[in-house]
Amino acid sequence: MEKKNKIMLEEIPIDTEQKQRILRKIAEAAEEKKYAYCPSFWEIFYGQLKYISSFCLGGQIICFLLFLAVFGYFQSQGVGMTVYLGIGSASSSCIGVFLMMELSRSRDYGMAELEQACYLDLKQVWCIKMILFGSLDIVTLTAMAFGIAGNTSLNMIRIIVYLLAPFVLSNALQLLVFTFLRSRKGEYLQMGAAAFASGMSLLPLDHPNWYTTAYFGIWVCVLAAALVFLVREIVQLYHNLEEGEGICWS
Amino acid sequence: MLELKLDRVSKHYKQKIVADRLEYTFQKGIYGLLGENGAGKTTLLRMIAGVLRPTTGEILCNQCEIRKMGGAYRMKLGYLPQEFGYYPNFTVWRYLEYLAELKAVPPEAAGERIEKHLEQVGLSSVKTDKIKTLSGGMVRRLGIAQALLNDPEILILDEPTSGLDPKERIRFRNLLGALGRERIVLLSSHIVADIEFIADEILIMKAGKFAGTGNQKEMLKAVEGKVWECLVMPENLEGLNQKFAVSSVKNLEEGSVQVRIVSEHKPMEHAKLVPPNLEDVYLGTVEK
Repeated sequence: MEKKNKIMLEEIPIDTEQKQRILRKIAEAAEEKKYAYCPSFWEIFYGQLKYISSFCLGGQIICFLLFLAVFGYFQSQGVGMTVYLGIGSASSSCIGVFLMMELSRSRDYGMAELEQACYLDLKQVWCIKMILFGSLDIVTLTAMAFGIAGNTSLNMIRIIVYLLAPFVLSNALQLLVFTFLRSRKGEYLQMGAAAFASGMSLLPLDHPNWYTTAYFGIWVCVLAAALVFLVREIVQLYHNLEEGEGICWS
Repeated sequence: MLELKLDRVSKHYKQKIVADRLEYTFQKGIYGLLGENGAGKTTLLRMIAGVLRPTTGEILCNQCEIRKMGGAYRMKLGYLPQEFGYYPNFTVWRYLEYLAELKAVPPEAAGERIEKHLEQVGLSSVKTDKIKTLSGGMVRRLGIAQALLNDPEILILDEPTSGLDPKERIRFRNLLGALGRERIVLLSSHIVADIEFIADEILIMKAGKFAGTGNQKEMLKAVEGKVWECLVMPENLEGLNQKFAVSSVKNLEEGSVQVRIVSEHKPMEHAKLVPPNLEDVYLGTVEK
């Protein structure tokens, strides 16, 4: 095989002065560029955790501990299945109130407009708070489900439906109250809505047959309807934030 | 080169038009937005701050629609709303720290910046106090400090001087004068003197539209030959007020009243022409 001749490039002369000049220009341009700091998810999450109201976070934790205490008391009394489900329903329907109270702080204190104009806007802040409080709700509901399953003969799916139906319905109702109310008085109505939902969820205690297999289909339908209602409310809330009129309501 | 452009921006609340096809391009400098209450100033500033979505039209920052830019736009922004809220139990320092987090100020720089801006607005001595214990003027200054936290390229201040005493007003003007050289500063007020001293460009809003725009020199020229001064008896004042745009009234010792009127025509026989000021321009524009 014929050996190819190497192409030799002639040496290019470097104008050191021009090189320095160009390098200086690049350095100047880099200096002018603003350093944009983008916090990671965990930094944002930890940052928000620091500023969440201790009343709301403490309330949520106390609610969970209260459930454990009441549950333990009834366990020692050896009560029937309906009582366990009643406590579970009432607790699950009121735990959402602390999230709503935390979300409404921005609006109650007139901070919403300012927060919406920040890099991390209100939608994102609320989303983080929903994740945090939602995680605590899941822990509480899981503990409830296992507690009830250990003391009754009901299967897990039925317990989950019995707990989730009042939980989702109550959250949707509270979100509806939250979307409509804009003053500080809303806080009390929010609590009123949670108390009302808890009271309503105790109704099956008077009608133990509602927890029989014959009524299970109705529970599933209520849960499905409540989920649709909740999703609709979340979409509405997002829309209000996007349009801004829910924030700038003066 | 930073540029913020309003492209036929309108905002309707049900049937009411609050902003009507506004068009303007902002570049580095201080812009003063003047107008009566309800003229649409706050709505316009809210739309520029990205808090309120325009019904029609677009707001472009360096040719990009601000809503599409999202966080990248908000990172450039410093905003002081007209109704500035706060969590009452936060201390001044904690409040600024909280907003620094929301504004994605690098944690290692946050403390230094908070210190610097508290110094600038004269609140260093109360940094550990709860906000609920501060006076209205101090809260307003805190609002100015928070707007500067992220070293914004676009600074929007809605009625920044309301609640400030004369000394604080002067301090604010000096601060803003220095800031305006390297960013777009938009401030609204219905106090003409505030704008007169600070703004490079003036925009007068009336019923959701720009009734007049330009620098002070241009605007003063527009009312040259239309500002009159005359002496009247106090009992004739009400009649004059109804008939003309009266920009100022001064009681004289001898019992008569010196009146300043903005009018195309000589309002009365003995009236004499005087050089206009920005209040005359404002009055002449909104009363048209």
